[in-house]
Amino acid sequence: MAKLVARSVSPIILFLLPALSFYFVFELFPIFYSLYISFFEWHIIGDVRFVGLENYLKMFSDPVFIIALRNTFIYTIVTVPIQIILGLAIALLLNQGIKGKVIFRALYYIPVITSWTVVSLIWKWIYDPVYGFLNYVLLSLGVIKEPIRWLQDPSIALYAVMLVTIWKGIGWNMVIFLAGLQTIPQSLYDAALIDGANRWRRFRYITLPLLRPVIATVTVLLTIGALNAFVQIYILTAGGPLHSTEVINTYLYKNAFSYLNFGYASSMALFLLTITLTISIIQRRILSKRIEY
Amino acid sequence: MPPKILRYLEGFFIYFILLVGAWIMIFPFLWMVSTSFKNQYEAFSFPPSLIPQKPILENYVQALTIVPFGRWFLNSFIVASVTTFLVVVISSLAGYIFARKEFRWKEPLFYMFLMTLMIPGMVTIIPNFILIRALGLMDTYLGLIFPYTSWNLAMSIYILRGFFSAIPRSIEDSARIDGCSELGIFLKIMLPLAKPGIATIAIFSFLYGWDEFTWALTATSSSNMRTLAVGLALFHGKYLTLWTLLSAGMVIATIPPVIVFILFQKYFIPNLMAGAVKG
Repeated sequence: MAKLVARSVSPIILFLLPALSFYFVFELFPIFYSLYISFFEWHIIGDVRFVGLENYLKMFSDPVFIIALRNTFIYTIVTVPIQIILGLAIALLLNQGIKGKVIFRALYYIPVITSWTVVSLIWKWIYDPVYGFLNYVLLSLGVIKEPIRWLQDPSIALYAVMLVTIWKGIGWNMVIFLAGLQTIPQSLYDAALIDGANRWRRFRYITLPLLRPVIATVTVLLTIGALNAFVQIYILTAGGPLHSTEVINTYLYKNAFSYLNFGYASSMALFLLTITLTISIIQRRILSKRIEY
Repeated sequence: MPPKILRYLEGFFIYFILLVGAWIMIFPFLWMVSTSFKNQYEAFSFPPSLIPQKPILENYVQALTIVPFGRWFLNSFIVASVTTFLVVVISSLAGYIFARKEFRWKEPLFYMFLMTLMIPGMVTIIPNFILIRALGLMDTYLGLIFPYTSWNLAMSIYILRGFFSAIPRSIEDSARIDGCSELGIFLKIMLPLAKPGIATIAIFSFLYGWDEFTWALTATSSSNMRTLAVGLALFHGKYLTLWTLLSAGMVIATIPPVIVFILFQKYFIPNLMAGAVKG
């Protein structure tokens, strides 16, 4: 009997053991440890002092954190819909049965497979106020009279960063929507054509409702991504100038690894976690309601 | 206007938009490649030119000899490859169990893994920093490889479970009747049949290890242990105007992902959303 149990149980445990160990050590334990740290004044060296909820309360009286919160919000609310709309638009154009679809798809996808580091650095060079290509083009076309200091001007920098994010994300959205469009049966469009539905109506009453689950998924994933944007901002502006591109993650990282204020940074991380989870739950509820015809 | 001309115009319009869009997508890369073949003087001349007047290879030579780009390339390669290997081994074992075996707490355990997909990376950075430091793994390959492996498990197990579930039971049963052992079934029958899934997760973990920035920035400190992603960014921070040399490094950093993409294009698209589209 014991042998029988051992034979049926052991492969399961043995096969799962590596995954479980990695998961517990580097994933589950850190989350709870983060929660623990967030109740302390915790620097990497020196004393550890229990402060209760102080770190959490401090966040909302910290003017820089409020700015970071606002910027994170703007960043999300701008980049997510624009990426979806442009990605869907290009997917619809490519889905017209045009020649060279595969090549176009590959070209639009190149920014997606390139690392954030490389993308951010390329754009930093293009945004260069004196030698950058963007100012050169706009100046020679007569669109602007003076060079724009894209990443140095506090009123523009956040938009310049968002542009890079959108540029990199369009290809990913396009590919997902193209896959989604393939799942819509052609017969629906044929029937609509017979009924005399014009292009807008076909889009509005067939494509859009049937793409709804895809749009819901993409919205959730992009929102989580936007709330957690870090690399591009860190490299392009490091949160500056004057905190004009500071988001929760850049401020959190600064607090942890420049000011070595681990407790405070952890409370921000958990705040971000709470927001991320809440938004993805709410969005899933709203966006994936049953499709009605 | 006759409908034929109208349709022709429409086609022209669609191509025009797509071409402009494609140009915007690839121009920054052309600009990067162009800069990497220019000398410092030409890179800062006005008006800028897309085709270098006197293309030079000097930047690539310097990038691989003077600046430790070569070493960073090697570091990225080692870290990405070992991570890929570990992710493939660990998640195919787990994915197989979650797809084919019944046991208590199977569903909760599986959803526990999935949950981590929603957890922001930044949340685990701070505690992992303390953990890796306590383990004495700071500034080592393992200090990058272990966390990278764990952070790739949830997605990989999820994808592989889908692939293993799709394999017909009858194949497994007939092997069992023929006296094939549990391990034999897994190695000789299940793994080969799940190859496309394994290719997919291998590609994703490799690109992850190659591109990851935040943790590599945090867990390495000596110049010799930097990965390419971090090294390039820090190099720029130090020598703000050396765009020619940096561009050469960026081109070198972009080549492996592009090769992976060209070779394995078919794995990039359909599988990624297979589960999500349904749900």
